[in-house]
Amino acid sequence: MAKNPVKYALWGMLVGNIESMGILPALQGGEAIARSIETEGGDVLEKLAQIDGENNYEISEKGEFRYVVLKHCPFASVYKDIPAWGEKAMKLVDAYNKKEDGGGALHPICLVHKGVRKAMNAGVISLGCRSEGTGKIEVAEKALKKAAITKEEVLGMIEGKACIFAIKA
Amino acid sequence: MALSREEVLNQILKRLHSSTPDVEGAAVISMDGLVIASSLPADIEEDKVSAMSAALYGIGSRTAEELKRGDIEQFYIKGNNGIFLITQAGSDAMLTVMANVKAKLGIIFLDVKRSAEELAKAI
Repeated sequence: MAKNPVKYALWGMLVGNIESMGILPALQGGEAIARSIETEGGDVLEKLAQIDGENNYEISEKGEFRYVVLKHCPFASVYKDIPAWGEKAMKLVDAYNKKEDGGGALHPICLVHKGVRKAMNAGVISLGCRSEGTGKIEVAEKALKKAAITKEEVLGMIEGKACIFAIKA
Repeated sequence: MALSREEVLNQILKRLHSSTPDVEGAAVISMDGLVIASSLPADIEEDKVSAMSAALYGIGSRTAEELKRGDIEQFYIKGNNGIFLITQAGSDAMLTVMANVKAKLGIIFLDVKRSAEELAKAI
């Protein structure tokens, strides 16, 4: 069966780089994307929506935070029909999830996606991801307190959706 | 009372820092790129140091393997403002040290080697 060369190229570059250099290529990939969507003025959500997709946000407010739920993972189509990420790349995802300012990642592309938010320098706090394929949810438990939200609230908001982050209103 | 592992690691880093004044910062980093313990200047981002150390270590290991240089023991980068040294500290971690340009390399290498051995035992 024919393979999608673009997906395979992305997969190969990410896995190859991660296997050689750990998390750095994912973070730098995020920084590069952030630079490409940086435009003068404009709300951070308008900038992020350029890669997250139009009309893909559900936004609620509580206290000093806006909670943004992505209805669909903008990278979901990449995950279909690619080889397994491999032990080293998934070990890195586990390591990222244990980090004080990490957590909530399911795949290496989540690390790139979170790298974009971090590079925006807008205080975006990633809270969790849900796999569209398996329904598996990974919550960034160490970030919950900082974002004034509970795990149960995150699980409730992300159910049937893809991703959630918080940003100061 | 016995010190916790984290306290022991921090103590080793502090000792390295104080015995060699030209050392500006040091960190113990897991092979995954997570910080285990650190004593870094305020203007240096811990995350960047750990990610870059793991990246350098990964590339160095691959290079050493491909070029048949054996297991990697140490990395040394010299810039015009100082040096950056990565030393294996046991099989699970590395010791990253930054020193200023005036640092006497012989002393730095010796102290870092001793500290890495202590860290390997403590980890």
